[in-house]
Amino acid sequence: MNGAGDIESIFRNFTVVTLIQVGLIVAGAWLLAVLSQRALTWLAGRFSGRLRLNLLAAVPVLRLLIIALTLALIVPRVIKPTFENLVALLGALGLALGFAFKDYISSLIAGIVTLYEMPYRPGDWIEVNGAYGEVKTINMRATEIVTPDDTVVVIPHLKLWDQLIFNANDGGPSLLCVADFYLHPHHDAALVKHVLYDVALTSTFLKLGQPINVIVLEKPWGTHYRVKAYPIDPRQQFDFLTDLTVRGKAALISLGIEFAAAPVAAQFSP
Amino acid sequence: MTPTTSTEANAQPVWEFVSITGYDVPSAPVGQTVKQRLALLRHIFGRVDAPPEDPLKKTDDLRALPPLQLDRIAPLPNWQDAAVALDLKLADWLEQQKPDPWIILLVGPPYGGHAGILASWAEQKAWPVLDPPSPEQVLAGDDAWLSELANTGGSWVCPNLERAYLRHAAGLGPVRAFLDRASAGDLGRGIIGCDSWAWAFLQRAWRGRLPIVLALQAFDQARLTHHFQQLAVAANASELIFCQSDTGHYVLPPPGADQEAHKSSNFLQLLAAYSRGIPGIAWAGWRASLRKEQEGTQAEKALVENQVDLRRTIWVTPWDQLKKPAMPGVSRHDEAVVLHTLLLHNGLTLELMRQILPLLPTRVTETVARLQEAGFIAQDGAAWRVTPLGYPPARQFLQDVGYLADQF
Repeated sequence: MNGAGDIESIFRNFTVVTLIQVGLIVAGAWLLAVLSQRALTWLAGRFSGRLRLNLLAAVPVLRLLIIALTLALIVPRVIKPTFENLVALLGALGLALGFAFKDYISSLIAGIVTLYEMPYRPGDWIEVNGAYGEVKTINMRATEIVTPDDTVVVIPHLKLWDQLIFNANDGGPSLLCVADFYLHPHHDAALVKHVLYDVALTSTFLKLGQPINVIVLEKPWGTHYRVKAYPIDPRQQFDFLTDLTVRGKAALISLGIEFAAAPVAAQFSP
Repeated sequence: MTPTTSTEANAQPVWEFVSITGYDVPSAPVGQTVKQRLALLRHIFGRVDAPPEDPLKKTDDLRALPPLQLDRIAPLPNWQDAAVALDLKLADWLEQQKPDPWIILLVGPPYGGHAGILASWAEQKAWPVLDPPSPEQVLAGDDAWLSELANTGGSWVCPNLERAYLRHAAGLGPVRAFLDRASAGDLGRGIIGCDSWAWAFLQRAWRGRLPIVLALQAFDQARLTHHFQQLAVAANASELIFCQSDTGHYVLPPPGADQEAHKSSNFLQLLAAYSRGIPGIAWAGWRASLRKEQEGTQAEKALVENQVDLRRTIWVTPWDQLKKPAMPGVSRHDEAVVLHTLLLHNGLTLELMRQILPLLPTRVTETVARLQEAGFIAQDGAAWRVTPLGYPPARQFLQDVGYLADQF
């Protein structure tokens, strides 16, 4: 009886008015969160560069603030907000939810850590477990990315604890692209390096002012060139790579340089 | 704002050449900057500005000036005075027997007049002018155009360096070879004119010893006042009065009157800020803003050529009401690529754009048509160029989306 009496003493007396108030607060918070997300995403679509990324990054932060504010408004209406009451309630809730929704709660907590540590933000290009794409939204439980093939991949924040997360631009507009060229070994490597540098320099997708590097690697089957450069906008990375490849091939062919043939991996015996 | 007196206007020379780092872009009044930001927000949200109420002269009562009269009041700038100022700036360098460096670079933004100034200067000094190579020569890496320099006697002017390259993998060889030889003194003493956007790009494509780089100082309000007054005087139209149509405030100081007693408009300050101090853009904005009262009688038409017609008030459209190109709120990649490429080359033909842009030919044509419709580009002979009034918003747009911009 004492236990039941203690629990009763934690909560306030529920009235219809209290329930309506809580309902209105939850509905208002939900509406505010949805509207702010849509408005900021819409506004971000009208800008480019760092301003776009900052607007997108503000979405989850704003939602966290809305949730915190909602809890701050609801809790005093539901329980008597003393220290003992809060400890008792949170302890009971933690025990119950810890068993029933362990992974779910872990994802929620990882979601909050994501907002604090920011291993990725909306607008970043990340790879998790082999899935590569642009972060579109960071929800409470999971992050949604869109792959270059326009497929949405939902990644639970839980992955944050034990998976490697590759972030290609880390909140900024600079994303390194690498275009590969495989050439027959008999050619003037200095000339090819110079030509490929100019191919990158003259690309309309290039972010001028960022470094361009051409790496040359000798392999048993030929010479491997890696052209490293930055596009103006991370979203242009595939157009940029296509442009480098198309114009690079044209420039090399015009110089009469041969491309490496794929080595024969195996031969069928009769 | 403080009215500009003719004393202030005369205190500084209209044409002044400075180091490129000394270029001082005129600033707009703070209130105007806030208004521009608000207008941008309204534009993003699809709102249209309402016209002001109770103007002194209604827009419907005014009409654009006939082209002939416009050409008399605001004729094309004569670059001779600028060439004289350039000659003064170069005097020490010209006196050196073995100059160090061998080349001087005059960099100017689009419509900054650098080519016209250098052509005029070369004519005054009887220096040979080097014609740029054709695009076919550039792409073929042909340096035959440099053979002209063999007969110049060691002094030459190349007014359009932006024509000596193309942003193409095969389009940088000639300009690099030229700059290498010129900066080493192999070609003698030379003055090179280059568009500011092309120079911003070439600084990343050519890594030689940088020459002395000069620029025409920006035209601020005082310079514009003096310049437009000079143009009117040269056109024998000094009796004209230029007033802002909504307030009646004087845009140019009225001739022979006590200027302090009259209210002045800040139109020229706004024009200087919008044009970033570029004389060709300010000139285009000035011409676009001039209006006269709607009369339309036969007598009026007969007097267009007459001096009597010039003794009238010319009404200047308020800056906010002047139609200027505006980029659609949603940023578009194709538009940015075409605008940036046109600026890097100070204009290109449609064929060349199709050749060097990574877009399908049909998309190039569509984008060019869209930009033309929006007033950002126009055909100048065979080449397409960014329009004077379209240049400032185009520059802002390109800068916002992360493209390399010039230093002006």
